[in-house]
Amino acid sequence: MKKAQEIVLGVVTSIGGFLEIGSLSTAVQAGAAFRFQLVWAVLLGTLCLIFLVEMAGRFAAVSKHTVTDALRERFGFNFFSFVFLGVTLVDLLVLGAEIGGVSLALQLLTGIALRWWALPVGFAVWLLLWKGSFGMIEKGASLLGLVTLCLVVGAVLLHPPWRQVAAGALPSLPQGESAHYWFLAVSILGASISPYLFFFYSAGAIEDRWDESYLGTNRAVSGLGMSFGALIALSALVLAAGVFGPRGITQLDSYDQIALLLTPVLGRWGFWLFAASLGIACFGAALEIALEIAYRAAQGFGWNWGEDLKPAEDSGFASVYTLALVVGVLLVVVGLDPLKLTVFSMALTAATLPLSVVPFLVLMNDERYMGEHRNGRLSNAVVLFIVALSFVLAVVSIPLELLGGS
Amino acid sequence: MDLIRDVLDKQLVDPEERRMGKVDGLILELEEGQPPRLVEIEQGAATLARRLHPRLARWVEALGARIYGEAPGGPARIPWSKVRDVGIDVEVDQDFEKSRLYFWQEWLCEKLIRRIPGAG
Amino acid sequence: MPKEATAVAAGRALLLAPLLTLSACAKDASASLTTVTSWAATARLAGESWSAGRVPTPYTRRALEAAEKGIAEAEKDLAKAEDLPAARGDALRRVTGTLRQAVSEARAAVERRDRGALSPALARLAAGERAVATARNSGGGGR
Repeated sequence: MKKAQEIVLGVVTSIGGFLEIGSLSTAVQAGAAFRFQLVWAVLLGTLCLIFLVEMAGRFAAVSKHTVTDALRERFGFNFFSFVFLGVTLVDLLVLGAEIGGVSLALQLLTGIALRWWALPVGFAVWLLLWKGSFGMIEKGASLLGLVTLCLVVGAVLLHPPWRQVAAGALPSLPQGESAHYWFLAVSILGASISPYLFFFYSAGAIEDRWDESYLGTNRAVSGLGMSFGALIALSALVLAAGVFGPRGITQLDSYDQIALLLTPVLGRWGFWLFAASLGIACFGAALEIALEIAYRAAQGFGWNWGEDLKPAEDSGFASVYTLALVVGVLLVVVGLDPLKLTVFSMALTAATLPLSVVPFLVLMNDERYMGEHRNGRLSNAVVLFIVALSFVLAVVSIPLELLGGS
Repeated sequence: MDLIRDVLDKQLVDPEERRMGKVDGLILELEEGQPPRLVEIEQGAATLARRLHPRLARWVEALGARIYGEAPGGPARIPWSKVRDVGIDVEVDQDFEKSRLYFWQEWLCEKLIRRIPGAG
Repeated sequence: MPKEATAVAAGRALLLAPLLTLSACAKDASASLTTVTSWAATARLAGESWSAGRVPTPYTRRALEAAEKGIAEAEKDLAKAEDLPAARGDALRRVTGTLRQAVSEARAAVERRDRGALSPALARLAAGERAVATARNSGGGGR
């Protein structure tokens, strides 16, 4: 009974965790520009994420190590510091994007410019981390995250041509604008496979004291949870394809455009539901990313860590998330365009995936950590293939997109 | 035991399982005609920095002296004889309160964290 | 030590990407027209939604402002586009100019909360969008 409860809760948590500003805005851009043609990127990214999250949970349950702990132990401090710097840098950009997302939602709701919101939003996130417990944050953010299901409702009400949606599951070449097509594919992959999710998940499994009896729960949570998350991202894509494309809005340069996603379908409610979904999903993600940055520092350097400790008991941990939030808020306050920041940091995530994923795969195959629960060939092959693909696409398409060719 | 594989970069815990940093460095003693002998575990930012680059280490040391003022000199060392167990973590017979990590966490706590309400 | 000697190259990839952002963008005419159409259509959708009472006024004003700015920037790119014959360029710029003006009028109408003045502006937007589409289909900046 308890396990069933854990699964339900875990799945709900993942919905909140999966949908954040990155997967939402990349999916919407893809739908507007290429209709259902990029459905495959969402599916492929999700498949990879399911495998990675399952691995992160299995790793924690079997080896009793977090991924970060083991990265340093197994590969030494020098290698660890490269991964640490690289992944943390990208995470800070993503954190900025999420804070921007919450601020933007508040701008939509109140009409007050988003730059004014960055500081209060950062403070609210910080306050929850400072005072709250892990369970409260995890469960609270994810229950509220269920509001994002309104995107699914919207997509269904739109009566999209399901056959064409399904056809998008197979990759196809675009007619023209191919640089932009591949760049969007990369951003979607980066947004779906965001490494902060599986690092966070492994820290959570240690906080919840998982052992080998949790392996089944873990499998269910990662599979179902991430699939539900993908369902919401797909709904956003379908909505954009149905709402924006036919009206000639094929290029989305600003959230002022994206904000209209639900209005034609849900009417008066659409606008407010979209703002609420965006705000809540980004708030949850901001909490998770700030925490995850602190986890990684604490685990990498062997400090005390735990969201349930009081700040005075783990001052290093508390200082790191405080500092991370300051940086994230600054990124928004200096006026970086939140949509550009988001899309760019998602593409950068894809480009840096090998940095975080390949060492993790080595750990998953290490008998000393995993014993009989080592990775099978299938999981290795699937993850390696998708990560290599994302990396190659990122290296090719990011420069092209930045140079503005089409 | 393989020192690099089994000891270096592992989590150090005190007898009450409190985390007290990682094994940042190992000190070996070389005597002529004898195999090298492990004598101490070393900890600290300067030790880590030295592994990346010696100049970085000098820079970190200078920075540390500036921030802490009268800091305990040199990197923290724990005699190998105090090591009780090497498993997932390395357990040593020394209280967390005597560790370098405790020193700077308290410092940070005093200078920053406790000044913010609700630190507990 | 074996552990110490690894992966400098991985970090370098990280440094490369931000540097590339600094490079200037040269858009071709087709890309600029896509931008114009997208913003014009956004302005129309926002205006229609506002008329129907589905979106709040502050948002609509901001969105129309952004649309005006977006079209103006695309116009500048269009002026610089090298793949466009002069005569066609002039014709296209006339259409985009009309669009920008229509958005501007729509914004003024929303600011005055004047639904009556909004609908002619939106109608002109729709006409302008059609004109751009026709211009694209008849070759040149099209695809």
